[in-house]
Amino acid sequence: MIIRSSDAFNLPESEVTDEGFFRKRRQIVKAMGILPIAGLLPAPVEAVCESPLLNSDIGKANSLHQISHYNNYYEFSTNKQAVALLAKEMSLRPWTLEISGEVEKPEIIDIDNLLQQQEIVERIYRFRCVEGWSMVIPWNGIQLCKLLTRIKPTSRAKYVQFISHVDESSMIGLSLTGLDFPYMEALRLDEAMHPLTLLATGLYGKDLPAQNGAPLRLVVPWKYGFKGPKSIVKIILSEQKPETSWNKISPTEYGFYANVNPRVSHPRWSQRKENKIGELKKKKTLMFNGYEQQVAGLYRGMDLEKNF
Amino acid sequence: MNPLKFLNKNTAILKVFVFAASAYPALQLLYSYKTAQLGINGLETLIHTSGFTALILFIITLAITPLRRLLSYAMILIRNQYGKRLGDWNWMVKLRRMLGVFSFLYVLLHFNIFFYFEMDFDLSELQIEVQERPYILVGLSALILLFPLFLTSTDFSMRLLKKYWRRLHRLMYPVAVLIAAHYLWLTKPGVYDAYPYVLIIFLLLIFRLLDYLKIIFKREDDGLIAKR
Repeated sequence: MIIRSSDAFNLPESEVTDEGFFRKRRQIVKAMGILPIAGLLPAPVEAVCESPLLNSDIGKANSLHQISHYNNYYEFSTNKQAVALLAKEMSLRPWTLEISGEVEKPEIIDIDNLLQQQEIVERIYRFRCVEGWSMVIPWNGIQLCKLLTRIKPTSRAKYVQFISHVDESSMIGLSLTGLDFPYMEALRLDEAMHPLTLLATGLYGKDLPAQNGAPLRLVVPWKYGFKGPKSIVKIILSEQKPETSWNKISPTEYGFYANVNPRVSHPRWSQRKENKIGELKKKKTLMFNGYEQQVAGLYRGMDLEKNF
Repeated sequence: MNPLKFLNKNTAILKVFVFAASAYPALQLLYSYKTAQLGINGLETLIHTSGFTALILFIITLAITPLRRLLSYAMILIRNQYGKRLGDWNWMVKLRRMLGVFSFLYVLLHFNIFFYFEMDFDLSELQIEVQERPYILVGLSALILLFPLFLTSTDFSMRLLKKYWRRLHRLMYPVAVLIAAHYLWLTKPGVYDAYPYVLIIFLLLIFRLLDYLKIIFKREDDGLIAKR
């Protein structure tokens, strides 16, 4: 297997975004030109997916080995370095994604069709785990907004829930922890529609390794890593706030929002600092993991120390 | 010669082995640090290895007295010639001080790794950390309580302090509780790594309580619990 040098990804993120992305965006704008006909219908979400503003001062990307051999995937093991080996046993095909709930066009999509239909973009994001460590990861994936626009959320849709796969035959850690499975996470609809929110399908231009959440894994770079469920099989839009796994087990430790916030302390891990994998000394954690400029608007008027 | 008798007569050899085994994790860690082989999360390796070694050495130190007594009872039970008397197991006691001192040194190393790599020796940072996270306060208390025990670990201190030496070294029991609490508190929900060690510490403390209450072991004082 040829592993591309991480130097190729050491560019500022803005330079990585390709032109094709902007052309596609124009096509969507054009397609939306017919929207005034439907002007009387409720338009609950922005019809257009914007391209995100990307950070340039992101730091050196972690190696594929680091990213794929240090994983929290409790269905297999709570030992982060054992997950890579155990996850090899999981079968990744056939795989379908079911999108249902408050949507006009519910769908059951085969993963390979989805990968062909949707544009795959490359995004180098910071990744911050609630346990106090962090990485810089070059993801490939689908902008979630594009998928949600396609299935058209109804006016009642306020939340988007993600449900992970449960495979009794390969996931030997299912009954060994206090967590209930399937693993569930959720976002507010506007968070899900944010241009930074990604459904990751790959790493370093290659297929996503099973231990990183193949074939489809949510990435929300301004939130702690546990908000990014792995190996997603269902996406359900709803009016009520859905249950989320860690919040259910310990609501005082794991909030629904779980935005990276150095001012909100955790009983076990300092959130003021983080341990970037590959560096021994801790460094300061940034508000919204460095994406404050892009996402602070989503939480205007909210007390983020209460809604942590 | 009976192997037990051999051990009793040649404790010096045993001490060399125990010294080497106790120093090994620190040397291994230093080597890995110097050659950048600490694994993917190097800081975690440094902190966990030093803390875990301290825990294991602490547990062994605390286990020696009850173990010695249990073994002598076991020898009576199986009608073994040598080993019925507590004195036959004295070599274990002779190793205890070294194990205890090493345990303290690993606690000190554990703290310094945390204090340097996580907060760059900044006292105000440590203050915030202690206020926000009870397990750090608990761990720090264990370190502070162990310090006088480390200082008085010489023969000279024992002679000087007489009966107060034993009283002082009863601090091992509250420190055991602090260490168990520290480990339990720092593991996240759904992870049970700490449980076996906490159980062992609990049993070692229960042993002393039962002995103190004279519920088990009617034998003469053999140093199971500091009585004087």
